[in-house]
Formats: sequence, structure tokens, C-alpha cells
Amino acid sequence: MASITVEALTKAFTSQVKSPGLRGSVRALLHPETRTVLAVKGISFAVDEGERVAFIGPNGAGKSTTIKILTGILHPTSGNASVLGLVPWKQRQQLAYQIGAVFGQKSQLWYHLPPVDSFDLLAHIYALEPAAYHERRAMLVELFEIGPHLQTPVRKLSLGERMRCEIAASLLHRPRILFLDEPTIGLDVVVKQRIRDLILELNQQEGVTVFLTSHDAGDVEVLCKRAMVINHGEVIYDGGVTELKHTYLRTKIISLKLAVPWQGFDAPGVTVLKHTGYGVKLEVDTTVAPIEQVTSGLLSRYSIVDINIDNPQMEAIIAQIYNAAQVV
Amino acid sequence: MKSLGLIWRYLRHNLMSAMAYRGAFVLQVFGMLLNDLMLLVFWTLLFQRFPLLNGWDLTGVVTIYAVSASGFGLVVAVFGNLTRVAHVIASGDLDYYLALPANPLWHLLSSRTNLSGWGDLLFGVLLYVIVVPGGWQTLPLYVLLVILVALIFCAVGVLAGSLAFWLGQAQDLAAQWFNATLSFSLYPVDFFPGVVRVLLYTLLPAALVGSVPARALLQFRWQNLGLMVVFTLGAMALAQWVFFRGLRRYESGNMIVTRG
Repeated sequence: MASITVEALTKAFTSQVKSPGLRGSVRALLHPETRTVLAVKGISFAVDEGERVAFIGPNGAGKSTTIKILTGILHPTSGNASVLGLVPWKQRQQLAYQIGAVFGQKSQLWYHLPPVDSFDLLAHIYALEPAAYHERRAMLVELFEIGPHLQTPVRKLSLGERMRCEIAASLLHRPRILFLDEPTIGLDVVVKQRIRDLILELNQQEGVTVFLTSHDAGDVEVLCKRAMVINHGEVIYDGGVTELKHTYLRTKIISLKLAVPWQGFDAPGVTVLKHTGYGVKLEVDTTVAPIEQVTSGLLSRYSIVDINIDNPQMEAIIAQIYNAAQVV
Repeated sequence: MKSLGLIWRYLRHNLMSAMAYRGAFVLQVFGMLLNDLMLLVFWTLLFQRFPLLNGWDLTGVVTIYAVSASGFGLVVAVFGNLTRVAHVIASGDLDYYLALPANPLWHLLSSRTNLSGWGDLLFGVLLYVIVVPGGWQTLPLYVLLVILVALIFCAVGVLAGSLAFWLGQAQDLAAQWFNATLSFSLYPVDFFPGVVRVLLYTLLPAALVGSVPARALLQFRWQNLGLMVVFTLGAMALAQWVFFRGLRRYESGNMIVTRG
């Protein structure tokens, strides 16, 4: 069953255009000129219940705008969307009972108070039964290992501790969809890992649909099976994370261990990344030079002890997509 | 009803939050009390020279202070974000309130307390107890009037703040509108010429948060109370309507820290 469907969703922002300097400001005051920017250009997609979807794209691509429309924060300019059968911007409050949202850069915890006070307040806002709330809180406290931090004012928590509390807070009301906007921003590697594990666990235990935006390739790779790439307000890729690699993978990395010293290898589409005596690392642009052609060329020229052919890291792939997008 | 529960929750929550810093709490509350007392000294000196000004004596002016300060103090103590509506809209902070299942307007307003407001409220109540004639019999009327005054201030704050939906950057304008209403409310409306007076009963409803309720308290007339009730209901309805219209134009934002 689809938990999110989006059809031809468009959001336009109008902004004032002003030429530089004071003179420009005065002119803009007298003859205001406006420019319409389409942040989201007629995108369509559907997300099934229990899916884990990554929504990726460079800054300003329209990711946050889309999430904000789906959570009812923004009204779209045109198009339709249905989240759990509700129209977000018309049935915002009804929807809010069933979804959770974590905006990595905006806290929903009270800075000067311990998290438990914020939890109590949220329980009131979500109209949770006291018994059910306490049971749920105990379960989340155990899962997120935040017991020791519950009574400490938020300002005294580390970012990682705070983030675990943030996510726990957004799960108090058992949401069916969890929107995560940059949930691991600014966190160290270990904490990132922990947060990813927790999100996965919730998805598997409770079937929560996860809709995530992140610039962190690790988040995408570990957490999500499906990725949507959005750029300039349009979905330019929608499919599996593994397939994403293949689609955008124009390069492969060949690592060689040779029986003889490296003497170079000239072929179009092949770049030497580094070499140290008997070892060498090559990058192959597979659109120019097919991989079998390069390997057979290498085999015929060198006596090879060991060979490894790798895909570039997810990180590099995302960087490639973003770079390609900026050229357009 | 649910919103009332939420407002009450927040009131407790905010006080807890404020009391986490005891020194700042005491200083802000009593600092405002002192500030208000200074203003009063000015009036006392003035009325020593001219006992009656345009039909108002010192008791009248002090009564104006009592209702205006009580109403203003009450509204910013309970709705501490009232003077920050434009800022919350312009900075994209409204996202938080819109992501939760509660009325975003009441939620936004009540999610902060203004500590100096507690000082104003305390000052207003003290003046009422000490100065206003009529004793305890006027208490229910005083309470009612203070609530109406608070709601009128609330409507002005919301209307002014909502300008940010249309103008983007409206913090200064909103602040001026709100503060002008407060400042003018502390002077008897009869001090002003006719044209200004019209303004003080409409766009800057200073008369309705100062002179009119003070008069109702000193010399009760149903007309005064009726005028207050009708105006309050109308202004609140308008403010809510404008705010929710504005929400459709809300543009959110990604402010982290930027230079204004």
C-alpha cells in the first residue's frame, strides 16, 4: 500500500530582484521587480508502506521544500499529494498525529530543560494516554540508551546524545512515517552508525516508513534501498541504491600488485591515481575504455600478482551526480 | 479546549524553564516592576501641579496604568512570543509548530514566556489593589477587563506580526505598531485631538486597552464593557483569519545563523 503519493507537485517562490548597491536598493523600492523560482517542478512519485527511501540532491535542489509540503508545513503552488490518505496542507493536524519529523538543524527539545520535560509536553500535544506514553517512553529510552541523559538539561548534552533524544522524541507517538532531514549532520562516525542502526531497527520492528534526506553517502547506503535524486526541482533518478551506483558509475578503480616494476600504461580513459613500485591504482572511465579491454591490455603487458576491481565509494558517486547537475 | 490545555502546559513549562536561571528570573521580573514605578513618579509630579487634566485626575491615570500594565503583562507572560511573531515567520521557525498536531497560532504564542511581563502584571495588580477605589467588589470586573485588554493586545500583536507573511521582513514595523499601541494606551485618550482619537479606537486600539477599561472600572457603564467585548471578539477573529490566510503564503526557511 502506498503511504505517500505525489503527482505533479510544484512549488514556486517569488523573490525580489535587486541590483547591487544602494542605488539598486532604491530602484527596487520604487519599481519592485520580482522573479519566480520553481523550487519543485511537477514531481511525481509514490512510496510504499515500510519502505526506506533516500531523497538526495545538492543544496537548493528542492528536497526540504518537498518534505515541508509532505508534512503540511508549506502549501504547494499546484499538484496533488496524499500522505497516509490525507492531503498534508489541508489536513495538517490530523496528519501530524501519524507522522514524525526530525529536522537535523532544528531542535524540538527545550534547550534549558531536561529531555524528559520535553517528552512530557509532546505527549500532551499528541494526546497520548499516560500509561501508553510511559510504556513507549521506557521502550525508547532503553532502545536509544538515553536513560542517563533524561534528567540532564539539553544544553549540557553532547550533539550525539541530543540527536538520540531528538529522534526518540519524534517516535513517542508511534508515527507511521518518519521524515528525517539530515539526521546525522555534525555527528561523529560512531554516533552516525548508532543512529542508522536505530532507524533500521524501528523500520523492521514497527514497519515505519522512512523518508530521509542526507548529504551523507553512508546514510543513504546503509539505511535505504531506494534512492530518489532530485535536482533543480526535478526527480532525475528514482530506483534502487545499488542500481544508482551502476547508472552513475562511469568509473571503476583497478588496484594491481605486479611481479615487475610499474612502467606506465597509456590508454584513453585510464588515469593513474597513484603508484608505488610494484603497486598501482588506476581509474578507468568505462564509457571511453570498457573494463575488459583495459584489464586484458594490462594482463598482456604485465605479470600480475593480484588484481582488484572496485566501484568508487557512494560518496564519489553522489559528488559526480552533483557536479554533473551543476554543469547543466 | 485542547488549546487551553496546551497554553496551561506551556505556562508551567516556561516558568520551569525560566526558574532554571534564578538570578535572571528575579532581575527581569523586579527590574520591570521598578521601571514601571519610575513612569508613575512622572505622573504623580505632573498631577501635583495640575490636579485635573481634560477630566482625568491622578487616580484615573493610575487606573489606566493598572489595567493596561496588567493586560499587557498578562498577555506577554502567557504569550511570550507575541512580540516575536514576525521574527518566527521570517526566520522559518514556524516549521516546528506546523509539524505538530496543535493549533499553530496558540502554540507559537504560548511557547515562550516574557519574564518582564510578569513584572508588568505584578505592577498592574499592585496598582489595582492600592489605588483603584471600590475595593473587592470590583475584582471580577477588573479580572474580566484585564483579560479583554490582554486579548486586544494579542490581536494587535498577531496582526502586526502576520505582516511578515506578506512583507517578509516586518519585524521593525510589527514592533512599532505593537509598541505604539502600548505607549499611547498609557495616556488618557481625551488628551488627543479628534483625528488621532479615531486612530486610537481602531488601528492602534490604545484607547481600548487603557482609557476605556479604566473608565469602566471607575464608573461602570454597560456601554463601555459592551464596546470592549465586541471589539475584542472582532479583533481576535480578524487576527486569526489573517494569520491563517498568511500561513498559505508561508515560505519557511533554512536559517541557521545569518546576519540581519
